This record gives sequence, structure tokens and C-alpha cells, in this order.
Amino acid sequence: MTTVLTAGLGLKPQHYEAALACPAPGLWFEVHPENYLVAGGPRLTWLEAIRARHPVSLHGVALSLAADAALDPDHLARLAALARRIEPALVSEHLAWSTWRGAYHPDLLPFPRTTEALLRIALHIGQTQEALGRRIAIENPAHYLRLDGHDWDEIDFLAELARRTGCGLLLDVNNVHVGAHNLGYSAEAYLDAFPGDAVMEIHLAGHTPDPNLGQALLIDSHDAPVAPEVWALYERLVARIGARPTLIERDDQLPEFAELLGERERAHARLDEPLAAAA
Amino acid sequence: MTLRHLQDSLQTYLLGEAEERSRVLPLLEDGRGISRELRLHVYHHAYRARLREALGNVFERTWSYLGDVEFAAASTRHIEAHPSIWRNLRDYGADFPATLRATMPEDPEVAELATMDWNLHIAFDAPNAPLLDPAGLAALSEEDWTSAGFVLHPSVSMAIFEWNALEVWHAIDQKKTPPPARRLPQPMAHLFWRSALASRFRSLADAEYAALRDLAAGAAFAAICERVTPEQAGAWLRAWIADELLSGVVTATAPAHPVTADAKNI
Repeated sequence: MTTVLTAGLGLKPQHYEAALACPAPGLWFEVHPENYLVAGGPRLTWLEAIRARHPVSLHGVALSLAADAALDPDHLARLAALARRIEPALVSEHLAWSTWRGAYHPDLLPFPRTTEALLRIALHIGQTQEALGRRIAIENPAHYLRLDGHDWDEIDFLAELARRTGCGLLLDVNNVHVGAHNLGYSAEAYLDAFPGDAVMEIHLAGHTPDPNLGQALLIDSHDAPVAPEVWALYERLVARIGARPTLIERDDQLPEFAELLGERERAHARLDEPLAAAA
Repeated sequence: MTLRHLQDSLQTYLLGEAEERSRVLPLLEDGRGISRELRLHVYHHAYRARLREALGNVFERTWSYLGDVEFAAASTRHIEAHPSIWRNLRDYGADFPATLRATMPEDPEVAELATMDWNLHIAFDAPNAPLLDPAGLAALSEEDWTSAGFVLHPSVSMAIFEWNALEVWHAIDQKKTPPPARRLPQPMAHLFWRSALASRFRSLADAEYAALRDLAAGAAFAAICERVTPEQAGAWLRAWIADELLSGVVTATAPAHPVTADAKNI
């Protein structure tokens, strides 16, 4: 029997017990694999227990695919070992860089979308897919500033990566909303142009105004419920491309599990119908 | 612009003073309503906020003890002096107790409290390893016992404190007002480890500390027994087994200690 993933939740240690026990149909959980690249101990024990009951997705933040540097083979090997152990339903990473000359930035940093960058990122995605023995999904970034020197439009860049490597795409609708607001483009036009066939997963999250600049600049903070504008964009997207596994991301100001589950039910209800019809 | 140039410029800015942005500003397009400087600052702020949050997660009791303002100041001093070199934020902060020792010399209990937080943190993520099966000890011959030593569980660590950090830790844990900092009559060793999927700690009398330290260095249990009464040695061994401090026995005929497959994989 194939498990159908509808809407999932980011897995947080505070919610391990509730996550393990939750019987909601279609429910799955996503983790940052870096938090589980530990030698041993309770975190891995919990992850394996939850994986025995629910599908799990690995959403990496540290491969630094877009850096002008080779992938760290040790990190890739550890990621592959975790994937063998957990057998995730989905694996994803970001279109960003985070490591350079020995420093690691706990952030997803921007880069100019040049053909040179495209070739190197495609190489890195290929190496990752080979190490993991599976297709991965690449997430569209949130934007706070506009770099000089882009040769490629972002959607064309992502579509070309998918074409060259066979990778899928992870479409973060909140990132689209935040980037469109911050840089002044149309979120609707972005979503309408996004290559729907390549979308393997959708992310929904909350954002907050910048503490200094207010509404003029939105921060992809993952510390609030999904905003009404983002739900509206999501409805528009799903109406066009159909149902895809959808994650409610919440990393800060964490509410009770039941509250997150309530938010997740909204996406589940939207996805359940077309999935059931297709089955 | 090459990517290499952007990475160098942006990284120099992120790791340095927020005002030093002359190298990276030319690489940005005009800010369209919000200046390039303010847009850049989002990244400068996020780098520090995430590392402060990581320190706060690990050094929870130290944070409670210092309060928000002093902990933020101590975190900021540490972050500016110690760029993150870890892919996993859980690994960031090993040097934080040393920063506190160096920057708060008037409050030495703070660094000890931070050492407790850190040692409990690393015990939590330490490799899995088998636990010593006491039944196996019964099978050892008299000759085996002359050379037998014990392998400590990988989560075990020890630290010597001169101040009452342990008392302070307990008070914070029970949400009580911490006692005033007080120098102990003599330095005291503390043991940290993981059992039943939780990090634990306790203080150690000098003799037990010496025994565990020597075991960790490869001494035979028989040599340790010579220093104390048989009753004391037996009581230690029973407690170490019950507390899950021991992972195996090493004898002259069976020196190998198996590491679990789990621990090797990740």
C-alpha cells in the first residue's frame, strides 16, 4: 500500500510524544537532518520511533549547494547514512550557500544566478542525488535584497536545474510572498509561472515584519501562523498544479501540538479531496 | 562579480562590524524604498540572533542565572570572538564556558554553571554503546580479574569545580532563588553521563573520582581495589553498573570493546 502524504508538520522535540501518538490520516513530519547528525542518544531514538509510525521528510539546511566550493564529502556521507536509516519519504535542500573558508553561517545566503553558478549547483545536486540514491527537491529562497549580476530569472534557473539533474522543486509559498513583498514583484505571477510538474513538496509558514522597518520588510521567521495572504496564494497554486505534500513550518514561538495540528488540518482538507479523487 | 568575491565580501561583513560594508554594498542593486544598508542588516542580525538562540538552548541554566541582559551581553562577546564553524548549531558553544571564565573573572561560578550545561548537553548526544552485562562478570576467571578494566560509557565526562555551581544548578532547576556564590572548602569533581535517555550528573568524592579517572586511562580494576576496602570497591562497581556508567570489560584475553553499529553509522 502506498502511503499518501497530505499535510505535514515540522517535528520539534517538545512535540515528540504527541507526534508519535497522533493518528491523523496523511500526516507526516519533517526534520532538519543536521539536528539528527548526532552520534547517538534520545533524539535519534525518538526520530526512529516516530518514523516507525509516520512518514518523515529530511529538509537539509547545510549542504551549501550554491557555494563556490566542493560539497563537504563527510557531511554528505553522514546525510546519506541518516537517509538509509530513516528511509525518508522526501529529501530537500535550499538554493543557497552557507559555508565558506571554514566558517558556517546558520543562514541561507544569496548568490548571483549566473550560468557558472547553475553548472556548479547542478553538479552539486547530481552528487547529492547520487550519494543518496534518490531524487531531491530544491527550495526557492526568501529574498531581502537584490544582488547585482543575475543572468537568470529565478524560475528559469530552478526549472533548468530540474531539467539538467532530474531533481524536483520544493515551492515555499511564504518565501514567494516575502520575496515578492520585499523586492516588489508579483507573487501571483511567480506562482503562475512556476513549473508545477517539478513540484514535489510545498512549504507554508508564518512571517513577521522586520523589528526595525516594520511592514516595509517581511522576515521569513517561521514564528507565527500562516498568514491569510499565504493561504490565498496556496489555494491558487493547488488549484493550478494539484495536490502536493504540504508542510506547515513552525520553528519559533512554538504553540501546543494541537494548535499546529489545527493549522495543518486546513491544508489537509484542501489536499485530501483531489488526492482521494485521483486514487 | 564572481561568486567567490561575493562570498568573501558578504562573509567579511557578516562576521565583522555592521558598519563595515564598503566591500559588499557595490554588489547590491539599489534598495527600492529600503536602503541597501538596512536590507543587508537583516543578514547581520540573523547570524547573531541564531547563534544567540543556539547558546540559549544549550546554556539554559546559565541564562536563567545571569538573566536576559547579562546572558545576551555574554553571548554577543562570545559570538564576535568565535565565528561558527559548525554545520550543526548544537555543536556551537564548546568554548562558551572559557569565554565566561575569561570575561567574568569576578563571577567564577558562572563558567562552572556553563560547564555543567555543556557537559549535560554533550552527554545527551553522545554515541550509543552497549551497557556492561553484570552476568558477564561472573564468568571472569580469577586470572582475568587481575587484569580486568572497564570501558566507560561514551557519554561519561568529569569536571572539577571550585565553586557551588551544583547547588546553583539545583536551585534554578527547582525554580528557587539560587544561593549566593560560595567557594567550596576544597575543589570537587563532578560526573556527567546519560542513562535511560536522559543526561545526569552527581558530585564525586576524591577517591571515586580518582578511580574513574584511572579506569578511563586504562587502569585495571584490581589496581584500584588495592587503594580501598573490598566493600568500597564492590559498592562502587555495583553503583557504576546500576547507573549505566560502564560499557564493557577489558581483560588480557579479551581486549576488544565492541562499538555498536548505530554509533558507527552516523
